[in-house]
Amino acid sequence: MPVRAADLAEVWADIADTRIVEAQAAFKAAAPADPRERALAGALFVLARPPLTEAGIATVATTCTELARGDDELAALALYLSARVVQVHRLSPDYPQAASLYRELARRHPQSHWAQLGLVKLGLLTLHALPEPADAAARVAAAGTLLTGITEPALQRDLHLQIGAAAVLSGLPVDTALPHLIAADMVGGLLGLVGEDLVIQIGELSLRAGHREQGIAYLQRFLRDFPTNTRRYNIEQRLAEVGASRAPEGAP
Amino acid sequence: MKLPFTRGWIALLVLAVAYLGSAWWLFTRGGGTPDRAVTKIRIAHWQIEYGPPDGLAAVIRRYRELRPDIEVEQVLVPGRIYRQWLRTNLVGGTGADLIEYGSFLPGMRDVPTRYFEPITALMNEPNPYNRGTPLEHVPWRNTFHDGLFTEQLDTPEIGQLYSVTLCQVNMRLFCNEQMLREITGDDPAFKFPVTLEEFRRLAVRTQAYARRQGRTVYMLAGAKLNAEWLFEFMLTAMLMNVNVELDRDGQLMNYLRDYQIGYLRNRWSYRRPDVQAALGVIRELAAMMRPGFVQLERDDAVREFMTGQALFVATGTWDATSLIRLAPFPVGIHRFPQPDAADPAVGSFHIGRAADSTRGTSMAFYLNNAGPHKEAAIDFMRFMSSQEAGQLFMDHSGWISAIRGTRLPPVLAPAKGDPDGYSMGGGYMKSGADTARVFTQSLYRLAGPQGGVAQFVATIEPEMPGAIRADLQFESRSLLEALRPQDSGLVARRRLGPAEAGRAEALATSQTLAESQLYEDLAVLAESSPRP
Repeated sequence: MPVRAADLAEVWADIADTRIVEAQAAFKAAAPADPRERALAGALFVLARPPLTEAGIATVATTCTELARGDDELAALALYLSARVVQVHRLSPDYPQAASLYRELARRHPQSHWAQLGLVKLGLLTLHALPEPADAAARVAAAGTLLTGITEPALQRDLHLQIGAAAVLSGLPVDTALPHLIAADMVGGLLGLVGEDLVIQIGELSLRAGHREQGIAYLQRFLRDFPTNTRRYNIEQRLAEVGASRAPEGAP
Repeated sequence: MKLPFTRGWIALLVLAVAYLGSAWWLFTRGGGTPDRAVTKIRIAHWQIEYGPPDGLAAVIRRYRELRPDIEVEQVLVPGRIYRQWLRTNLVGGTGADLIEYGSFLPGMRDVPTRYFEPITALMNEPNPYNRGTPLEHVPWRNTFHDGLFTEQLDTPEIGQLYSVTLCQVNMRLFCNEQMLREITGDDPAFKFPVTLEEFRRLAVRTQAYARRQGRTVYMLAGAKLNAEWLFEFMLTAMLMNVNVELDRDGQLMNYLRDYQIGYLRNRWSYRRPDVQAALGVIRELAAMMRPGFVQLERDDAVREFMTGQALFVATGTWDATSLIRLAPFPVGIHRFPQPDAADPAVGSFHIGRAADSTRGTSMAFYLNNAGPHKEAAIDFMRFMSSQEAGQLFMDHSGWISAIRGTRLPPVLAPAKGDPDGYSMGGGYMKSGADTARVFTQSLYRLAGPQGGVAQFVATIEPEMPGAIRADLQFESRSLLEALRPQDSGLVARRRLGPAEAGRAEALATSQTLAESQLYEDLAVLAESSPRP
């Protein structure tokens, strides 16, 4: 549970909706809150209004370093933000340093949501940005090992999805990507086109890898679950190509 | 002494009459006094051409019957000032409650996340205004022909829905039916061209007709935008084989960046024989337009068509109402002829028809997050995208409704078309500002009498890698700028506790997906970087 977060509820609500000027006004008017919460709010004001100046980045980094000294959820969050600053907010990102901070976060606060989200971000860096390992298959394998540190299903799903996508992008055998994509699908809960894309992708990649029945099942499921998608004709043609009908035998 | 007294009384009398008159006006007409029982909301858009304002007015009239407690005002803003108007009003807190917006509006990418409110949760519930219709139990999002596909594609936050759409638009050939009859005479064998080869034969007959008439008649009215729409569609239709090859991810379609990445990874280029053959067809089509069409605007093409100087104008169904109402001749709506396997130019690599009715919906309205009457605005949003309102909008605007189950007037049947072709995306002419500039600036080399496919390809190929890289770099920068402030948004949402946990989780996923795309783009840019 957030520590005394309710004191600054209006501030958080405004920041969440990118009303930063209003958030700052609410911050000034707010009753005295936990000083660490107030420090966090100050850092978020800076991060919420890019582009960041070098001075702004230095301020946020100092604040987060201070806050991260603790041993609570806010400390984990601050360490996560420290990593994000060097990964995405600095004009010249330092991916190895960000990776190092994510690893430290996972070591110090393994159960924290922020540590687990950090592992997803570390996975992205491993797959695409870190110099080592250089080999695509090794990168995919290394990212896969991070999954054991993640217990939140949605975050597991997100990393599986990224590993699968990276395997496809790198031209690795389809059977390297498919288990990750299927695992992501099994968690479910993806919103919008991402979920629709995933079902088609598993279906089509399965067909390409020779897993005919699995491919057909996913494409048929797509036709059933997404009645308005503009790719229905493509899928109907694909099913006809492999000699399958639009719906499973015996389906209503 | 008496005179001033009389003048004073006259003045007083005039004042009293004016006061009583004003009071009578206010009490009988209701204007000017705050009516606390009525909530007033405003809906703003730039579709001020023939059709949409009438359609929306009909929807608003019906809504007033159902909800006399809510009054809806339609605000029409000309397209040329729309962006400035929108920005100024949103910043000043005076924006309308419901606002038309499109991700294609230049320089406005930050607007949705700053000023609009997502309606994803509501979209997963049935629309109460569909009660008693076949859509009664259907989630709101699935009551649109495309399941809001386009809106999801352009959403500022992956997975979140922000808008409802009112219409469907397709590219079509609008035909001067009277001239077509004069060209084809009483030929009983004539049928409207379905294949590209049949279209070529009609073009020959049109030239013969022009010679007989002793005047210039072009097959296609020409203008830069109309030509671009037609050429992009035809390239996509002819190069379906390349589309399939580029589908690396197995998604049975390509996004714009797939064409960028595919080009930078040498998976396609303008030097490919099939691409060159398709460009040859573009040269044929360009020759059916007046010389110098690249310098002309949409209005010029419409004028050329309206004055009988062109048999067809290729444009979107958004022009249908204007063309049908204003043309001094009967206007027919036809689907584009497409190449088939027997086509002499591109038949050898033909693998199927392209979808010319993608079912994509548009004219999207967003909810102003600072609007004072959000509940009323959402209620009207639901009504205007209900089956009843969709029918009203279509009947009064002449635009195809975005809503499933609406009955299409016969005149619009060809404008809608059937989903009988592959929908694979497309990006052969442009994948951003730089590629568009290179392609369009060199188009005269393809279309001009002294030009040709070889000259065109020799001109653009040296420039395209840099242009595609520039477009991809621009996209990467935009992605980075969009995902940076999400960190503070995500943290703030989680500080709000369990009530916002679902939204926070969705935002985390959305940001990770965007970040993944960013790193993929950066990796491709790095591997395709020109060597010093």
